[in-house]
Amino acid sequence: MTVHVSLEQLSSYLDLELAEPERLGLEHHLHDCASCRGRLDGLRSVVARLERLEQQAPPSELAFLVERRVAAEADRLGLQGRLERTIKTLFIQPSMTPIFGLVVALALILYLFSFGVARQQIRGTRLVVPVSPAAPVARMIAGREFIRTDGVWVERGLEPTAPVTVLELGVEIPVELLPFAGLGERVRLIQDGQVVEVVFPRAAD
Amino acid sequence: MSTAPVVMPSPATEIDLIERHRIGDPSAFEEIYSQHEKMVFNLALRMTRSPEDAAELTQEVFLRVYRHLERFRGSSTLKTWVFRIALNCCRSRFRRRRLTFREPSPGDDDALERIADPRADPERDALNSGLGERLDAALRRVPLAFREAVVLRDVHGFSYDEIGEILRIRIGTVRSRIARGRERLRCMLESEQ
Repeated sequence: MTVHVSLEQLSSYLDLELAEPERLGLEHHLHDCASCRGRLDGLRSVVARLERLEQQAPPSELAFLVERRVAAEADRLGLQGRLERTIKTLFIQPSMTPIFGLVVALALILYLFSFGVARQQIRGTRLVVPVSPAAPVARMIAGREFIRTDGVWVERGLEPTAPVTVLELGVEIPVELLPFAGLGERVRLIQDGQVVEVVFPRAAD
Repeated sequence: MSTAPVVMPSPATEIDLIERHRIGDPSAFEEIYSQHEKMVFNLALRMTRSPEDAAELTQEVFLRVYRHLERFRGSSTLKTWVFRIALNCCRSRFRRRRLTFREPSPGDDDALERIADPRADPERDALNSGLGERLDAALRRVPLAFREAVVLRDVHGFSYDEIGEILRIRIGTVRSRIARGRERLRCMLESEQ
């Protein structure tokens, strides 16, 4: 059985990358082996064709596009570089260290001061919550509607009317007025065709 | 930015260029650009097969070169360094757009033909065009890892050591990838005949 030369050996032989003994052995084998010679010729042809491949010229505008992008990059790096250099100077130069420390301390004080002021402002500010006008409080007693106005329960329809009679009750409350006693101290209502404001006694009285 | 005839600088000149760039001489970057523009564009073209993508990639490459040029320490040649950036850009783009095994579209070759080198010889172009197109078409069917190695070796003429530096792989792997890439091409081209 014939042992052929490896593909890597043939390829490296074309590139003159074989050591002398290996090269001599390979050439000896090629002399006797038509199959390996054929394979080597095929590889040689491929290499020759690759070497002849035309190099294409880049598009004419490419240089301009590169120049533009590089200029933008230079601007960016310039700004970044200046900033880095400034920071380095502040950190590294011994003469600048106290000044840098002072600036940092000042910045810290300003920050803490502004933080304190902000907290103070939050604490001292009266919280104002906008409210919509309250809806009138109303209750129905014995089929009659009463509305709470200026601390007085006023029967619906009597709001603008001033009471004709103010009835101050003692401990005893007339039976017909008892349901209205639950409304509160003062109730303005129609009693016997008259507008009466009844002052009920306080619970503690 | 001018595109003067390419003269590759010696390492000493490269260090000088970097130093000039460091002290803010804009002409230093222009020189670096004009020395590598065509190679980078063609590398991108071989890898992507799209002139638009290649032009876009070339811009990205030189932007990165500009950004990191101050960090170049001269442990490799500038050309090797630029090519490593270029291949990294290509790989990033492949990852983003999954172009690795992109099948050729009918418009690709036409678009490529539109970018004519004004300095090229039209007769030689005509002679090479058929062969070149077939080879390009075969090349784009070669897996990316093999294609990178083959293009760097046979199109751009890098040594095995330089390819190892650019791709950050061992020499044994360089040998293997070049051999396998060439073999794939040989099989494809012979099956067409």
